[in-house]
Amino acid sequence: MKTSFAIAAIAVLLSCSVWAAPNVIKPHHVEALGSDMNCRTCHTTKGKFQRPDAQTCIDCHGGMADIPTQPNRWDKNPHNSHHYEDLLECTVCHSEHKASKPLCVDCHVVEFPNLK
Amino acid sequence: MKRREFITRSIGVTAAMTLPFSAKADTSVKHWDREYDLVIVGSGFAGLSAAYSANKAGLKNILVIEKMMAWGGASAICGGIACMPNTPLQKKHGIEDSPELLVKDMLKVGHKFNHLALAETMATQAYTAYDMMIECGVEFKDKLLRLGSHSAPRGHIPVGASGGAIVVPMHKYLLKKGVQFQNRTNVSSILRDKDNGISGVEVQTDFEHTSGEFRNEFSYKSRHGVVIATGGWGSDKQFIKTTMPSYADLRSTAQSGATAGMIKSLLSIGSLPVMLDMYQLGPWGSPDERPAGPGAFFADYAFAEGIAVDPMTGKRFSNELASRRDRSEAQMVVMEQGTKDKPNYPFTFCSEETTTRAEGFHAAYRDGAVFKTNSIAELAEFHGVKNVTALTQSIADWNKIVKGAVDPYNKPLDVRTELKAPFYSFRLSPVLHYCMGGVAITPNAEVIDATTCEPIKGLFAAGEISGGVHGMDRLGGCSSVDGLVFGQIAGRTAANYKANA
Ligand SMILES: Cc1cc2nc3c(=O)[nH]c(=O)nc-3n(C[C@H](O)[C@H](O)[C@H](O)COP(=O)(O)OP(=O)(O)OC[C@H]3O[C@@H](n4cnc5c(N)ncnc54)[C@H](O)[C@@H]3O)c2cc1C
Ligand code: HEC
Ligand code: HEC
Ligand code: HEC
Ligand code: HEC
Repeated sequence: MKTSFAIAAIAVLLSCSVWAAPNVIKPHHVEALGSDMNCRTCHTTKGKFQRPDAQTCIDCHGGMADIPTQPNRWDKNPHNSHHYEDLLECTVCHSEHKASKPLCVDCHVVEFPNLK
Repeated sequence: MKRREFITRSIGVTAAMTLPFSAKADTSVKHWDREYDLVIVGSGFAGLSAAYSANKAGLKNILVIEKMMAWGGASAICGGIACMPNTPLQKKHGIEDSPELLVKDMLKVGHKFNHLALAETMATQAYTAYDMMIECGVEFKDKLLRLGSHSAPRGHIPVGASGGAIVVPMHKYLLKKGVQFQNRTNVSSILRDKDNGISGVEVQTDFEHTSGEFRNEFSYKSRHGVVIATGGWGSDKQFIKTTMPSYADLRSTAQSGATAGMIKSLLSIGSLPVMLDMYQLGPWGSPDERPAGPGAFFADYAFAEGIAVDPMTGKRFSNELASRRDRSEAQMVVMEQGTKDKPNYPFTFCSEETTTRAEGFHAAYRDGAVFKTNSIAELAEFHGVKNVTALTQSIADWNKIVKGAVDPYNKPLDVRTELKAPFYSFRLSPVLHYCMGGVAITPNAEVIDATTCEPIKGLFAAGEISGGVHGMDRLGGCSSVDGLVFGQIAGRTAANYKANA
C-alpha cells in the first residue's frame, strides 16, 4: 500500500506541469473578459490550483437565486429545485475545463440546451 | 499534517468494497488533523436533526460530513411525507389519533419484528420532529394524507411536496447557527481512542463518488463521539445481491450515493447488525418512470380512490392500501403470469376528479408515466385486458362500494369518488425502496456492541442506517419521522457523552 502510494506520488509530481496544460478557459468567459479572465481570476488561492469555491463565481455572477434560467417543458429549474434550492455549489453543474453536466439528469428526463 | 499535495489516489469502487475498513486501534491515530466537538456523518434528516439538537445542547464546533456533492441524500429527493400523531395540524382538522395507535399500526405492518422500545420512542416523540421542523421554517400543506395501513390520516406534506422542503430550511437554519458542512468527503472508518471509546473518523476529501478518487486523507477527532446518519444502501447492488439474492434484479429508489461502505465499517468495528436481509419494496414503482418518481405520489391517490387490476383477469387482486409488503407481493404474483416478451404489469387507475388533488400527477402525466384513456374499452386495450366484461364489472362493483357496499378486500375509504371515464392509469412494478435492517441501537441512539450487547462508547446512529424501529416492514411516511426523532436523540446523547471533555 505504502509503496504504490509513493510511486503514485512521484508520478504525479513529475507530471505536475501537465496539470495546467489542458485547462482551457471557456469561450463565454474569454469573450466577455479577455485577459482579465486568466487562471488566477478563478484560482485565487496561492500555490496549487484547486476547484474554486462557489463564492468565486458568486462574486461576479451573484447567487443562483439571482440568475433566472429559461423555463422548460419539464418544469425543471436547476437554480431553484425544491430538493436543493441554492445550497449547491456552481461547480456541481458548471465545469470550466470540461463539458458541464447538470445534476438533475441523474434522475429526471430533461434537457438544458443552454447549459454552459 | 499528513496533507499530501498533488496526490490523487483512487480507491476505486470495487477496491473500496473490499478494503478492510476497520476500527483502528488507538495506536494508529498518532495525530489528529482537525478537532471538532461533534462529527456527524450524513446530511439527511437524521444528520441534520443530530446537528440541531447538539447545537441546542450547547456544542459549538459541529461538523456535518457528506460524501456526495449534493446535500441531503434520500431525504432531499424523498416525498417528504411525515406521519406524526397529535400535531396541531391534526387537531385543527379534528382527527383523532395517538402515539399508541401509531405504534399499533407499526407493529402490525412490522410483523412485531419491531424493537418495541424504539417504535414507542419514535411515536411518543414524533411531536419533537414537528416542533423542530416548524422552528426551522418548514411549512406544511393544510391537509393530511392517510397512507396505506395507517389507521388515521396523519401524513403531513411539506409545501413543495418533497423532502427537500424539509432539509433545505433545516440546513439553512443550521448554517445560521454556525454548524459547519463539508461535502465531497467520504468517511471510510471509525476510529477508537485509548479508552476504547469512539473518538473520530478517517475521511477522504475532494472525494469523487463515481470513480472513488480523492485528493487527501485526514483524521478528524470528535470530542463527543461520532453520530452515524448515513442512510440506506439501496444502490449497492453487490451488498443487496449478497444479503437478499432474490431482490438482486429489482430497480431501486435510492440515490447513487446510497452504498454499503458505512454499514461495513460499522460491522467491522463490532456493531450488532439486525435484519440486514430485510428490504422494503415500494408498491408504486412503475416500468414507466424512475423508481419513486412523481408517479408514485399519484399512485397513492389512485390506490386510495380508484382500484388496481390484473390485466390477465380484469379484476382487482388486493387491498390497494394494504401494507407495502402485501401489496408488492400481490403485484409480483400478478407479474409472474407474464413473460419477458409479454409482461403482465398490474395497473392502478382513477377518475379525473382524483387527479386534481394528487401531487405528482401533473409531472407524471407530462413525462408519460400516467396514461389517459376515454372509455373502459380504451383502458382495456391499452393495458392488454382481454376480458372487457370483467373489467367493466370490476368498475361497477367498486362504484357500489363507494356508495356503501361491503368491500371484499376491506380497504379503508376516506374519500368517495365515483370511478368513471376519462381514466388515468399507471402501470405497476415493485421496486426496492428501503433498508429495514441496520445496526442495533438503544432508545438513546447508542450503537450496540455485538460481543457485549451493551452500547459502544461514543458511537451513535440514527435514521435508515439503524434497524429495528420498523421491524420487518415500514409504514409510509415513518422513515422521515424516524430520522427526525432519533437524529435529535443521537445529538443529545452525544452532547452528554464526555460532557466535560
Ligand atoms: C424516492 C424516495 C421517496 C421517499 N419518500 C418518503 C416519504 O415520503 N416519507 C418517508 O418517511 N420516507 C420516504 N422515503 C424514505 C426516506 O427518504 C429515507 O429513509 C430517509 O430520508 C433516510 O434519511 P437518513 O437521514 O437516514 O439518510 P439520507 O437522507 O439518505 O442521508 C444519508 C447521507 O449520508 C451520506 N453518506 C453515506 N455514506 C457516507 C460516508 N461513508 N461518508 C459520508 N457520507 C455518507 C449519503 O450520501 C447521504 O447523503 C423515501 C425514499 C426515497 C428514495
Ligand atoms: C471575473 C468575473 C467572473 C468570474 C469569477 C466568473 N464568471 Fe462566469 N461569466 C462572467 C462574464 C462577464 C460572463 C459573460 C456575460 C454573461 O453571460 O453573464 C460570464 C459567463 C458565464 C456563463 C455563461 C452564461 C450564459 O450566458 O450562458 C456561465 C455558465 C458562467 N459564466 C459560469 C461561471 C462559473 C460557474 C464561475 C465560477 C467557477 C464563473 N462563471 C466565474 C464573469 C465571471
Ligand atoms: C443544479 C445544477 C446547477 C447549479 C448548481 C448551478 N447552475 Fe447555473 N445553470 C444550470 C443549467 C442547467 C443552466 C442552463 C439552463 C437553461 O437551459 O436555461 C444554467 C445556466 C446558468 C447561467 C446562464 C443563465 C442564462 O442567462 O440563461 C449562468 C450565468 C449560471 N448558470 C451561473 C451559475 C452560477 C454562478 C452558479 C452558482 C452560484 C450556478 N449557475 C449553479 C445548472 C446549474
Ligand atoms: C472561470 C473560472 C476558471 C478559470 C478562469 C480557470 N479555471 Fe481552472 N478550474 C475552474 C473550475 C470550476 C475547476 C473545477 C473543474 C472543472 O470545472 O473543470 C477548475 C479546475 C482546475 C484544475 C484542477 C484542480 C483540482 O483540484 O481538481 C486545474 C489544475 C486548473 N483548473 C487550472 C487552471 C488553469 C491553468 C487556468 C488558466 C489557463 C484555469 N484553471 C482557469 C475554474 C476556472
Ligand atoms: C437523486 C435523484 C434526483 C435528482 C438528482 C434530482 N431529482 Fe428531482 N425528483 C426526484 C424524485 C424521486 C422526485 C419525486 C419526489 C419529490 O418530489 O421529491 C423528484 C421530483 C422533482 C420535481 C417535481 C416533479 C416534476 O418532475 O415536475 C421537480 C420539479 C424536480 N424534481 C426538479 C429537479 C431539479 C431541477 C433537479 C436538479 C437540480 C432535480 N430534480 C434533481 C429525484 C431527483
